[in-house]
Amino acid sequence: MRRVLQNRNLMIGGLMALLIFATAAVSYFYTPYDPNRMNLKERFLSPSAAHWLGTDQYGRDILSRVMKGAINSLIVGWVAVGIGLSFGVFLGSLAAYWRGWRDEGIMRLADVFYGFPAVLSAILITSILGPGMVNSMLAIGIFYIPIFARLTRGTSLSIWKRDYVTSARAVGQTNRSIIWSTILPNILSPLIVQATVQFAIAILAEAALSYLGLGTQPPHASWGRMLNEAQTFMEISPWLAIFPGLAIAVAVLGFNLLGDGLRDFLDPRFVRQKT
Amino acid sequence: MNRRTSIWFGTMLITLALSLCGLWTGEALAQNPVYGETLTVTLSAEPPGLDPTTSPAATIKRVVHYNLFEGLLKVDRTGKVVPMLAKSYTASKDGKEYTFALHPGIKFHDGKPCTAEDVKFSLERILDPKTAAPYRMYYEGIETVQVVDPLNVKITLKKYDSMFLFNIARGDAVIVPRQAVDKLKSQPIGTGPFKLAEWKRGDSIVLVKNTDYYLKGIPYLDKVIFKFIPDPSSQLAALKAGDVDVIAYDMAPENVAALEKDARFKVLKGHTTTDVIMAMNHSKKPFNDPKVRQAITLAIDRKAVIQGAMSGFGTPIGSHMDPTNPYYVDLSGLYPYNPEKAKPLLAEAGYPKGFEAILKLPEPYAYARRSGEVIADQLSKVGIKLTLEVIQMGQWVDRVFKNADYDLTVMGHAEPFDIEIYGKPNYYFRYSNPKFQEMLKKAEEEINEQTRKKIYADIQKLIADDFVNVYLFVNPALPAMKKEVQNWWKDYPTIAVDATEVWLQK
Amino acid sequence: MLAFLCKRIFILIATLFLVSGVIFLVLRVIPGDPAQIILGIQATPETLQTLRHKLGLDLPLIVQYGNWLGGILRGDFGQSIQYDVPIASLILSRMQVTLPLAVLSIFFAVIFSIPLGVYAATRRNQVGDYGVMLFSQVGLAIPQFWAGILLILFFAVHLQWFAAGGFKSWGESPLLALKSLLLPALSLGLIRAAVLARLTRSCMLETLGEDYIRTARAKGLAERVVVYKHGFRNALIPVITILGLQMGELLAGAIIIENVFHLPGLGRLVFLAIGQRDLPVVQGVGLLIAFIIVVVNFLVDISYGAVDPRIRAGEEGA
Repeated sequence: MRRVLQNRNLMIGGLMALLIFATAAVSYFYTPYDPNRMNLKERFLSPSAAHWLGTDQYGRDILSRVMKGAINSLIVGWVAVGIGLSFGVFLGSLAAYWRGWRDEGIMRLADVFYGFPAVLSAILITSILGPGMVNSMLAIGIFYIPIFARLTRGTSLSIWKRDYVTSARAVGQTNRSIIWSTILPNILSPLIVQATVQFAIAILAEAALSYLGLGTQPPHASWGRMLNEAQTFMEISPWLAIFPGLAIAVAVLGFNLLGDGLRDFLDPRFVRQKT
Repeated sequence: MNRRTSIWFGTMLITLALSLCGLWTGEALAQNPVYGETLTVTLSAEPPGLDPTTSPAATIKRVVHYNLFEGLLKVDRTGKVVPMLAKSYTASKDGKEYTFALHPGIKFHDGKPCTAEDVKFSLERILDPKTAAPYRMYYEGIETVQVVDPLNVKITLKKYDSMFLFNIARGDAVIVPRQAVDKLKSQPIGTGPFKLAEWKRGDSIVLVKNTDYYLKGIPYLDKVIFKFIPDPSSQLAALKAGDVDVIAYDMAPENVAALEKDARFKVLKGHTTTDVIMAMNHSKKPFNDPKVRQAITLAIDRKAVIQGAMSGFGTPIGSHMDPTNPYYVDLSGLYPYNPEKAKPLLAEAGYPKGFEAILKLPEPYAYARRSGEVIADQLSKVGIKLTLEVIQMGQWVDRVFKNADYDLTVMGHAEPFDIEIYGKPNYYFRYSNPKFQEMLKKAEEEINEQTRKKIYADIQKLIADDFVNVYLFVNPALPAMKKEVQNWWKDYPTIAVDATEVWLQK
Repeated sequence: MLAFLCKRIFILIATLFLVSGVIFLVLRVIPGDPAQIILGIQATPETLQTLRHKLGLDLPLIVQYGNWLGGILRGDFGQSIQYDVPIASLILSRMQVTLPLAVLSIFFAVIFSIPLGVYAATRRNQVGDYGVMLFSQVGLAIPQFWAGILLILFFAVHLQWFAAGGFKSWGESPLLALKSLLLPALSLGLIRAAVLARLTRSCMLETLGEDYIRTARAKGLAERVVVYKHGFRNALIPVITILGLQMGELLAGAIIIENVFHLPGLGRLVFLAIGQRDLPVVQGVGLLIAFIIVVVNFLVDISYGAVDPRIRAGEEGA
């Protein structure tokens, strides 16, 4: 427990991440105003007691929209990482298990997509499938698969070689039970760390997609989209451009720090994976 | 009179005389065009080609109409149809024959003369199915085109058409040279006061003065550069930095107030002929039910839409016609905002809890997207839940326009005087009303001006009473420019960006 | 060494083929008939068919692919549907914006990150170190387009020192062209700097912990000489290679930043082309970007191999 408290990254990151989760959870039930309700007589108001963060070009309350935007970002992060994890771990452990040409094949395929920045590929995919929240989750998630596959394969391979596995096989334990009892638990830590980092990246990628108009569609609140609309009206009201961006930065920073903290906490000798 | 009175009287007289002098000088100064100079104009969309007859893109006409190409007649900045290449015309008693007399000495930009033969060629070209002219329908009433002599052309119509003169003035009917017609798309040879100097794809089009123009005295400018800057804030930045002199007609409304505070610039506030409507698909439930359409109309507050989408610029309309049209009747107050009446109407129609629908919005048009967002908010208050789908223009043309695969959509109809689209059952509204078609035919064939006016008034009321679409507003024309630019068009009763009589005050 | 190189080159070519195939196929799936879009609403079926034939859209897929690839190898990227000009010339003119932008961004990234990283390494666990780490963490968390927007908000809207976007061409005024690239390059560069500063710091720390550094110190050399002459130069090698790997991120960032600042570069071209369904442009530019990323990765790979013989010997692990 003391280790947790001493780990600064973990504490700060954890708190920030918790803040975002809490905001999302709260906004599910309550926001000061309906985030989509327009009030065209109260456009471009500066922050005040009635509207803590001001109003946008349609008179909607910015605070409520920023809160609702948290739900949007978290869901996208969750699903994208989920897709990457489920398919990636499956493929990666298969590759580590099979070895040989199948392993090479899968890894080469993964390599092709590895060098591509997630945002570029996501842009391509959403422009084919069409814009929207679901498609952006898919687009980001697909490019997480090779990352998790590689990670899983790498760590699984090194674990397969360990002494306790060799002895387990000598004793006659089946491969499948070894995978379940020994391999999977031990790759859990690096996976958790990577997942947290990828979560942060997903939030950034989704924001970029929404900014370009390819992500979550209006009138749903999405931080990236809010920034896109804000840019048009910057001369009239700078507040529109500040708060959603701040929200993104806080969320991403929080999850990044959390990931760093978890990394130190879970396995100090763990070799860093490039993302 | 005593001395005091006479001094007072004298002072008044002198002041009056001086003011009159000043007024007269001022007027003279203001009205004396200055020759020379280059004017840089920005447009948001680059034309895909420069032939106005073979492509429906309005952006083409904006660059070439009146500047490079001319028709027999033209629509001037006040909306009147006046002579252009034809210096005069006569009509037969039954209104089926028109004889146009051309100006002598008209030359194309390649030096060849423009004669009645070219007029015949150009008009027959529009009618030729092989040309695939997108607006051929406006000219199908033409029976024959005869060359009387090199300077006179006789056009015979199948029957009297009150729209004929207006249609002949549209940008599709410009006169083109037989000898250069195939390359018009990239090498437009016309008769206009400017000719094409250069086209830098993706950047700009440069026009230069045509020194052989048949009318002496115009144009005033030596050069006109059309710069294509698609983004409104970049356009504004370019204007403020002095990179461009004019934002042609579509300055972003939200920036107007701030720009007007800058003494170096002025913003003209006029009208276009773009009717912005929310179209409803009559071939899809529940939009085939007039009660539903009425409920929707009553649930929309046009003023709020204009406020939210256009920062307050734009004129509300009650039918499909804009105020610059001589037949326009103001029906915007006919069915005012009344959400309380909308809900019971929906219940009557069988939707007490409202319903869901998809509103498709064209991506390139900010006025349409923003209007859609405001409408969605308003309709949600009466239980109609809209999902917004922003789609690319290509998809809009494909899915909405061609195949009527939509529930609702918002679009601005730029062509002036296009109420006849409501007479086409296959138009994307899929609205078919024989009564309307009958009345429209009567109006087009009616020779008497007053009777015609009444019929058009009734037609507008008919499609308003039928709630065919929700008629939102007319797009404003917001040209923004340096103070020195003179004589720029304020209203746009036709699709053109006319630089022929513009000059730059020193 | 030769075997290693050959294997790598083979993989490179295979990857390029695969990538070109993916780009080609993927774009054929997009709905929307390009011929319809060009000719517009009133086009008759005959004219549509004529245009489709002219564009080669009615040939079998494999033939289209072959024609396209063959053209690319000859330098012919095809014709843009929208603008009706050769794509190669479009690419060339847009490169005039994107290339300087990329170079300027790398310049900013390097001049910010390297000194900061070295500084942090020499002040390990002190205030200076934490400051740099904070900068790095915050920089990683800020979306690039927000950085751009904030810079516009401050320098263009508030101070009015810069225009809020747009680009003056090199032909007209080189100085102003550079000025219009300043804010965009800064947005890109600062974010990249955040990543690189961290990296530089850890590379420096690793190098400074090496034996030969201890030896140098033991020999009595001045600390500064130790750090800069021995440590810095050796730490730089992995940093430069990582810079290469960041090329992909840089290009992705350039696409976004060009849209934020409305710069007429490659990124904006491809983005608008996607919207207009201008297939040939998306294909051509997409392939170019992919090509650059793959080739740079390849170069980085072989330079790693050249430097570290262990990598050449076998491929183990991730």
